[in-house]
Amino acid sequence: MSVESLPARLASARGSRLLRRLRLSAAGPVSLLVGVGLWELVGRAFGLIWLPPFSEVVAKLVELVQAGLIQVSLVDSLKAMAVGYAVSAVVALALGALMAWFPLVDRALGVYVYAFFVLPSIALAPVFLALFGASNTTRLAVIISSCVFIMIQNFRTAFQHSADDELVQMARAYGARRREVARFVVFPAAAPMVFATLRLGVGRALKGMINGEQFIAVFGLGGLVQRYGSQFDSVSVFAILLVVVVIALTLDWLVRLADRRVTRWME
Amino acid sequence: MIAVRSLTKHYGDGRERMTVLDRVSFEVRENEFLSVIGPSGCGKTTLLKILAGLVPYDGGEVLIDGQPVRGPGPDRAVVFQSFALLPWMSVSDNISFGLRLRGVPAARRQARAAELAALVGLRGFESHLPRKLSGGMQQRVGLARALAMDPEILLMDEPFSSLDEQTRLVMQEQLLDIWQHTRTSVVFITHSMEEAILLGDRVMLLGRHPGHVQEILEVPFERPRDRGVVDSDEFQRLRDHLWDELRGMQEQV
Repeated sequence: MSVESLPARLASARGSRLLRRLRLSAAGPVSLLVGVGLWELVGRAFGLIWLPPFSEVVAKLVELVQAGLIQVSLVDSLKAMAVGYAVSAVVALALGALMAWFPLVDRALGVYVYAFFVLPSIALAPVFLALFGASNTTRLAVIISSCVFIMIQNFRTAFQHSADDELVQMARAYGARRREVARFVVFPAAAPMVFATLRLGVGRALKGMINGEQFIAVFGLGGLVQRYGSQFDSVSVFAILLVVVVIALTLDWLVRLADRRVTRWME
Repeated sequence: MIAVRSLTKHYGDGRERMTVLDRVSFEVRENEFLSVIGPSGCGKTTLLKILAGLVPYDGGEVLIDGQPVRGPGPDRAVVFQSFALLPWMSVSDNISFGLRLRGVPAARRQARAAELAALVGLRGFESHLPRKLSGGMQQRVGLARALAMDPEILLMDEPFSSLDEQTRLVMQEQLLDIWQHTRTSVVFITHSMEEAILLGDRVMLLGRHPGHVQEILEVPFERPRDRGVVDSDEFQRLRDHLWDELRGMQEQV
């Protein structure tokens, strides 16, 4: 072991810290590159029908976009997803809060929320189809039923258990009424879990959207997946799924951005 | 002035019912500093929460300036053992939290918070979040928040018991200093005999099972006081007396 002078050791410690941070921020992109590279290699080496190489998928995507086959479906899907998710989030926040604060509501609705939370929403799709036909309403119903119940449950927990009892007492001692306790203590305390739930909901809603559209097989990205799938056009299927993944990552990033703005005090 | 007469408090119902406070009677005079000490389970924290209006009581009277306590009020401010700071608010916003609830405009609130931050020795930390501060500094925020209300009565629930020894001594002196200027009435719960005697005009000793007033001692030292009194014979005598009583209660278990 070599004996280094103190400044030299400090410098190398600083250097290694910088290196560590660099490595950490590079991990994601590098991992992505390796994954895509492997995908490309395996796809080329074995010529598997169910795994076309990445480059082919991208080329196909460009082709589909140029032919205008994706844009309409994409916008259509995103609109349905936005409406379904927004309705779910608002309903879940309201019901979650009511269940957290009124035991009677909790007892009355809890069992239904749990029952529908366990049921896979795709199992309900035929019911919705019978009710609403091959329509946008059916798609919305699948989206909402796939994300609203877990969000209700999580929001209830968030509002019930996040706030420290001592903080609530403090607020009351300083003159806060019920509404102010909620505003200044309960909501801020619940914010981290609320945002975690909103993120979870995005993923669920997206899955619901694709599932619903596949089932109805008429419109949206899911409809395209269904069509190309039945034609055994796996390159196109992958191209669409690539779009879905990019949407998911973008939405998740947006929610995280909002989360970080609101819960900055936790860092 | 606080007047407590035959205050009784139970927890639970039916056969589970437990009496926490049994016919507790005492008064706190205008500008008086009353220390309250007792073994765990004597109901001292419950007593403080009843005075704060946070917990209802079952029997007797709790009067402040002749009016029965029915809930929290602007005449009282509480300092908590756990500090109870809002972790998402800055030091300044925590200090002025009560003023905000009162509807004081933001600019006046901020000015007042800055004054109080300076008073308790937190100048320059106004925009910090509580968790960036040490325990002693956090409790200074708690104290400043209470003082911001300009209360007639300061209710302090073991405010220094989670601080380390040195910090506690500094905080005791600072509290005496501030109290010397504001001269509010103080009810100060503690489990430290030295703290009770050093700070209080009187020391109320509570017994347990159920909680009751065992004795109220006059502390004869003049104000303003400093730590020097700790070495006096009178201080030792009071301390020994409290210890005899408290040890006796421990052995009863």
